[in-house]
Amino acid sequence: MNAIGAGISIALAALGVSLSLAIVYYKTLDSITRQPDMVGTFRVLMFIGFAFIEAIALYALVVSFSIING
Amino acid sequence: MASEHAHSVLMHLSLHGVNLDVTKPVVVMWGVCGVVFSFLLFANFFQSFRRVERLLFDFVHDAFASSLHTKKTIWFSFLATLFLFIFLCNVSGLIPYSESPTGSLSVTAAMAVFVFVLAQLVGIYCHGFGHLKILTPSGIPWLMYPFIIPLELISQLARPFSLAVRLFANMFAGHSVMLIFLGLITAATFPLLKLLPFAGVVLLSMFEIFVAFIQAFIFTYLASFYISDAAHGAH
Repeated sequence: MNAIGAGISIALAALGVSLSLAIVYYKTLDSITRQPDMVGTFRVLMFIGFAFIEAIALYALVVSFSIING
Repeated sequence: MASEHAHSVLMHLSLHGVNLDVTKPVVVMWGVCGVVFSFLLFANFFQSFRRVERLLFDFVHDAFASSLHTKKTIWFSFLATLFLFIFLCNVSGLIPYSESPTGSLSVTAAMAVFVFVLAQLVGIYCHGFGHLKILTPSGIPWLMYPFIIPLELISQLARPFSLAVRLFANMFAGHSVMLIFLGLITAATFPLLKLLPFAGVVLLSMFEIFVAFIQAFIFTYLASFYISDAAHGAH
């Protein structure tokens, strides 16, 4: 039962994170197309967005490790 | 999970019952401090070190100047040291026979609590007792205060938590996945089948360097944002 909970936790987190990252990169590419001279700003904001969203998936990973280890 | 395996103890130390054992992450952190200190020391004497230090300062200035609305150079020194320390600590996990100190929750929690306390001290220094007004954003009628203040308090207290867990989980998860790949190399039967996990380990190591840099940058960026937010954010 422990393993099922851990699997569900990380699976749902990965689903949400992949969709969110796709949205972030999609809009970043759109913005670069609209305004190519501000690529530096967009790059910085893209990395910040990536780190925040990835952190959510890693919270779920921490939870799944805790579930596995009882 | 954060205390899954006990670290090998080099030297037992304790102060009034507080456990201050010298373990492997402690030794690695001493090494990183030594590297940072000697790098900045040699920058006084050698032109090549000065060029690299100039690169670091330019990066810190360009990356964090927008979030830190002050020209005082002490903050740039603090942020540059913090960034360099966290980056080198993260990268130490990729060096054989040494581990990343940021892969244990104690180290990241200590740094997050330090940044949190520093932000509160800056707020109290700038605004005195009115620093508590950060809990009541502008434009809210005073009747809503009993609802808004607990929410804002929780969101302010969640900041050091998320700071600590983000850095810890990134480092821990990276090493866990690498352990799984290494286990796959051992578990593969044909020698040709061992090539795939080996390529995975190599690519993962390169990705780990990237993640180390990004997480150090994010930690430092959020530290500068929280400090500037406390200094002149909501008021």
